[in-house]
Amino acid sequence: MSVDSASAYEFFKNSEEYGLSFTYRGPFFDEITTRILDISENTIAVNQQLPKINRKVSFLLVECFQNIVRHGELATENNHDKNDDGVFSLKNLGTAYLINSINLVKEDQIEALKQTVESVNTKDRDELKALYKERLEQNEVSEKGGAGLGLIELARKSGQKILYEVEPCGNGLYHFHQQILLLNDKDQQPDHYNHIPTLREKYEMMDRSDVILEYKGDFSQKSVLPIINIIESTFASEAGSVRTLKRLIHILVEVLQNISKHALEKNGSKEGIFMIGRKEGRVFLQAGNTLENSKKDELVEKLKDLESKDAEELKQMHMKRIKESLNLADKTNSGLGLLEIAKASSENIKFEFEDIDRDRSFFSMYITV
Amino acid sequence: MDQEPLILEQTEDTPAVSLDPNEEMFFIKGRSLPENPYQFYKDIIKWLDVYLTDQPNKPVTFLINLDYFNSSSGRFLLEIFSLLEKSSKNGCDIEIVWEVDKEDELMLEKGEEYQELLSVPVKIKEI
Repeated sequence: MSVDSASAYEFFKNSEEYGLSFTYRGPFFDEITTRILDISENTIAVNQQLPKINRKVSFLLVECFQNIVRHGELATENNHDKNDDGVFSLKNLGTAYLINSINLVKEDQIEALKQTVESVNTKDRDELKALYKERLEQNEVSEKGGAGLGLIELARKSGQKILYEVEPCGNGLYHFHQQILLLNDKDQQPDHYNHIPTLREKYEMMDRSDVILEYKGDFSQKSVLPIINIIESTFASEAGSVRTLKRLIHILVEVLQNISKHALEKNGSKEGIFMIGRKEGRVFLQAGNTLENSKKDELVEKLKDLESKDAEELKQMHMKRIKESLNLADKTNSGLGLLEIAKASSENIKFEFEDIDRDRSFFSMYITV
Repeated sequence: MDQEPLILEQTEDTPAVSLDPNEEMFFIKGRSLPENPYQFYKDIIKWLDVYLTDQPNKPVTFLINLDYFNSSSGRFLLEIFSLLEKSSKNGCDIEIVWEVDKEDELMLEKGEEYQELLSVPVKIKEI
């Protein structure tokens, strides 16, 4: 872990207030849209803690995501030397959902975009409906494939103003920050929800740490399966890395189930976070969860023991343990997860503990696939 | 009376299973990632145990073809193999076939581990 990389704990703190935080930094392509939908449909449906929202949230997610796919400028096509194609996030806060995004816009398009958003924001429901019909009839499809209807639909379906900020980021390009808010309770104050700064901070952390996806939320099987699918789609799209993909998914499953088994519960949900990224051509996973201090020593001992073993020793250890596990009374916990991670990863597991309070610590791992 | 077959369809995190005495082989195919594999494997293990006890001399071919399995599923696969191993020691003709994609280094390693762990032959078939 390089010195300037953000730790899992820093990510956790940025996302701590959210019941669900999913942040994705690309690649942005259409196939990922259905995967993003799975998150809203499965993750929200199975998680008792999250407010149920009608199909609107799914609709808004697709619309926002495709806005980035269709309208976002690609850094590489604009002599922008950074890995800066933007970011997409879905968050839950209390009874509200927030869809925040940042994407690249060219200087000569920024004024028109601002005007469109401003104009949508001044219109009431009926006016928006009329504008929508008008645009539909004009049937103007822009060169990037959209009909310019996205923003109107976002405003109509969310029933709230679209929050935005524009920020120059060099090479004649701008970051367009956008927030779509979905409130369950009509009496709430929409003004209380400006999470543009939080995402800006997270995007900066992701950039500096080469993280491409972050997830904080429920870690039950049904919630994490869509996340596994997104990662599989994202990495399968890259040619020539069947081996890496295999190891990645293998480790990922163990990491996620490890959090599900060992993290402390908060509001009925296991409290953990995980990130995936790529640094110097190598895929890595970062995972963290809260843990009782009383379990710390045993865990440290286990990790240090794994650290001291070479590949052959780990293999022998695994065969011995799996045989022994047949005789364990506890059939639900084979205790092989960390060993499996150590075996399948290409470097030692790096780990850290941060004190939270007298009883709890935050445990994090950094795993190179 | 013949034992009723145990057939399970593949799901997102559990494999397809076919334990059918009328077919030439038993198989487990797909991916096995359940959070609580005991729930999934207990009926399979029970079924196989009953079958092997009732038909101690009938040859068995058991095919495994998995994309992925989690560490705790690995424990239950070993339990299945151990049952087969016991029958083999009692003179039953047992064949375990571990089918892997030839590019899949990870599953190949897993197969080799089971080969080392068991006295019953595990035939690795690269496809």
